[in-house]
Amino acid sequence: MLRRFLAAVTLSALIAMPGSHASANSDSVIEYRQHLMRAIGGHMAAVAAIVKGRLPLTEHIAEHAELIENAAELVPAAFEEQVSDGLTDAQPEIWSRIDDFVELNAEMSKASAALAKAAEEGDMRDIAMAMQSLGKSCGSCHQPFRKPKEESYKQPR
Amino acid sequence: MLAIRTSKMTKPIIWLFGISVAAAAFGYAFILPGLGQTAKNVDLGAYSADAERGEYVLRMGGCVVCHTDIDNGGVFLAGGAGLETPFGTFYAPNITPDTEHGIGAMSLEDFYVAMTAGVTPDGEHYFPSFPYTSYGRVKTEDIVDLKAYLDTVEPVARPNRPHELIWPFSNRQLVGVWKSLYHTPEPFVSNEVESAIWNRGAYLVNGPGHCGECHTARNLIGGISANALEGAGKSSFSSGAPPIAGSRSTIRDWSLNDLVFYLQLGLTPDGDVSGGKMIDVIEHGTSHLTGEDLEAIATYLKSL
Repeated sequence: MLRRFLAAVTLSALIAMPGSHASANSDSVIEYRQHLMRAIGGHMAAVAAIVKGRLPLTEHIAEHAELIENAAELVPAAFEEQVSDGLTDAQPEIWSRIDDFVELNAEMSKASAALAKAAEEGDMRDIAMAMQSLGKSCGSCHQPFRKPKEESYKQPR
Repeated sequence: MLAIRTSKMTKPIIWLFGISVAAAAFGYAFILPGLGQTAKNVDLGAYSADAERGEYVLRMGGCVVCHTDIDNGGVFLAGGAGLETPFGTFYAPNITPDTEHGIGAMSLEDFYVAMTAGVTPDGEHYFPSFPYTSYGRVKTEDIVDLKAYLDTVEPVARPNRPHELIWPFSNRQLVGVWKSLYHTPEPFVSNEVESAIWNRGAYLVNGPGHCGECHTARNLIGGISANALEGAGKSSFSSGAPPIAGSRSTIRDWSLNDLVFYLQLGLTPDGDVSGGKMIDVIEHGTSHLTGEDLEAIATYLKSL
């Protein structure tokens, strides 16, 4: 009883936090974007693990591909607010070339749908080819819009 | 694009250094004979050329990556986009068999000397942006096959774009001095202690694959200045290519299988994709290699 009460109080305190509507905290914006990207990467890595390890989980690949497609739909909104300072590798070009960014995002949706289709048909060669084009689509957006690894905020200074 | 960056701060240093090197080198440049010209002792006729195998050698060597303007949909092997370096921008030439603009007029011997000694048919030095420092280790039969394949490519009359280099680095004679410091044309020698697959990997990585040309740090005059493959670091002359050997290797925790898979599809074990020039290296180079060869590369790299 008491625990539930406390939980309710904590929740309402969180919701009532000042400024949560007007402009989101930039650290939180970055945190969300990075977890969204990591989720996509996680699905890619899972598919890769199935293919590399010849795991008897081929039917999971289509599911992962659909989850990537769903996640792709979340990307434009996640990058709506321009936050390119702080612990982020997002390049300011995202916002100066937002149409290209959105277009590349749509390419990613298409490529993940193609992977889902290949996975349903079950030919490992086609699956590998579809993974390659999905990977290329990731790269085609990272190339202009994500800081290269050697300039990443993660590099020791 | 391969981003070898120079900050504004380092420019004057390059200049000063370049000028002093130039001054010191001018004396030697005329004394030293054109180094190399090593075809003399090799019997190129001893091998029967196999053009089909030569196409595979082209992929081993990653030739397409620089000699085709991939980003702008350029014609296959008819000349590449610029390679930006602190010394200026190098444009890899047309290597289709067009006799005027390509290499159609080159004899097999010319081609062999170009690949191993970095000397043009006219006896001039090629700039080391053409990685003869690695190609010098390529086996004679591979060179013979590669030439046979290149002779079968569609000739394209596309004129070569001249390099845009900063003086004094634009001086080809100085390359002779550079070669005396950094180019020792020696054939690949197997390490008898290691397995056959390891040796195949060592050959592919250090010979045709020329991985160390980007994955190793260079000094102010573009000479290899650190342990091979241990990364170009963040120095002002960095290609940005990460270390793939040694304690800082970015692939240390990768399995053999991870590495093979990466060289086929460009996907890293953590679900990320390759960046920079490596995207093209994989698509136009390593992804065309056999599983056995990729395993050999992985076996060798994992041992470093």
